[in-house]
Amino acid sequence: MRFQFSGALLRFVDFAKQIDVGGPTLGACVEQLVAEHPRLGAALLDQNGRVSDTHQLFLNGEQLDPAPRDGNDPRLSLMVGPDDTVYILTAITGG
Amino acid sequence: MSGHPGSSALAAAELGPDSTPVAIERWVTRHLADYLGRELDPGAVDRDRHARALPREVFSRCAELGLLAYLLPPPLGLGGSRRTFGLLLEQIGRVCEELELPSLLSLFADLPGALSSATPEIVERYVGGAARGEVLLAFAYTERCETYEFETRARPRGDDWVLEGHKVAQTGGALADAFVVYARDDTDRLQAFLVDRDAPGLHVEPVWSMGFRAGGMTAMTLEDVVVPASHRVIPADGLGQVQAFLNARRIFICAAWPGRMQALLDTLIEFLQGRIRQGVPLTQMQTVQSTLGRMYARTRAARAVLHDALERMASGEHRLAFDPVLSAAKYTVVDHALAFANDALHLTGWSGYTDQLPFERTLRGFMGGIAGQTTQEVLLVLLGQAAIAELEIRRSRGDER
Repeated sequence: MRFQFSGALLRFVDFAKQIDVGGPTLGACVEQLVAEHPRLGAALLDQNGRVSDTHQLFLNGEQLDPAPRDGNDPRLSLMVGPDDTVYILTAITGG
Repeated sequence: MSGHPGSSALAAAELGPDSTPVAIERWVTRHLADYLGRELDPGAVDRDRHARALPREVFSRCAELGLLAYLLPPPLGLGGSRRTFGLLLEQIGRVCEELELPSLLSLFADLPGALSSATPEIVERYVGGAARGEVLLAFAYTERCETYEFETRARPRGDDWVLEGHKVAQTGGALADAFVVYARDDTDRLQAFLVDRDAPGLHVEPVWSMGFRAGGMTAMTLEDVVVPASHRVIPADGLGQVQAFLNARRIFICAAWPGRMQALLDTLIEFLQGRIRQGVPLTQMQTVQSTLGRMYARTRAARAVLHDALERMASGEHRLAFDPVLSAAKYTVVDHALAFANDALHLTGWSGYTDQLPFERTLRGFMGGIAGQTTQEVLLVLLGQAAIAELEIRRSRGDER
């Protein structure tokens, strides 16, 4: 599957706009992505391994609802294939 | 609306999610206008001149009316709608000279909700205390560097946590009894901690600013500040939490401004009607009328985007982390307000440049919108990126047109 990145997350993937990885689930693909770009882990995932609410995920153009804060991240269990695209929209704002 | 102890006695409980702007305007006129005109407005110029924070008593009055409980979830709060609260802020802006009041009110009413999943003791003391006006909370997030480079650190020590670092801007810090402080842990991720104002090692200093001087802006240094584990109120995804909080709050910081613009337009017209030039009041000159027309249009435009953003929040259509529509609304209200105040100075000349009239003070206050709640320039960058992303997302859906 293909990841596409935007905004503040780009620095953690060497400013690659898109990266292709393989895996049966979105979680497996995220795992491979983080293995290839170790600094991405702390930016993308929270302390419980859930995708941070900072990032908005779009699977083939459809937004995935944010995961509950106190449980597993059901988005990571989604089955994905080589033709799927996940766009990660990241916009960090100030106080 | 029910749940808050004694909620029937809280006047704000009258305001439901569908209250009309006219009903909200009448509510503010009935409950706040005289009080603010009598107790707050006379000290506005002096507070601005000497950078003194708003008096604590005004927030006690807001608590008596239920405004500090309005947004908080039951049973401690009234569970009111953000749309209605935003419209309340607009009307408070109409009757209150100081932009600082609605801004701080929105902060003190909104922030305690972030503690809702803390221990029952913390919730009762800080959330319940906030609803009753006994505890005012501010947050310490901003540093002199990017979020992913934050230097404030949290490290465990026994059963406690120790905070070290420096935070450059806390709105309402001069009034706050406690702070929600964001710090990076050993995994480089953010957590948030509740730090009492009198905690040993916490140093809070006033910050001098161009405007918004009654807003109690501060900076803080944390030196070996020990906080108990129960005060670790956001133990995971602190960045996601604060981004969601800032996203939902962004429109609140300028929600009062269309109301203030309307009040200033009235003040301006009255002033110009009393200035006779070439035998006629200035308001009879077409160039003056043209500028007043532009100011009227800016006021209506700011109000329209504010209401649109509030309706979007009420419908639940807004995105959690960064909603382009809410952020575009903040950008647009600030932009219109600055141009509006600039026009007012052009029409009032020397009087408007001095503190004889409220325009220079309000212009300096509006300029806080350039820097506050994400700078205007950064917002434009993020909005541009969002516009590009939305096209790319539509393409990946096979829906380009």
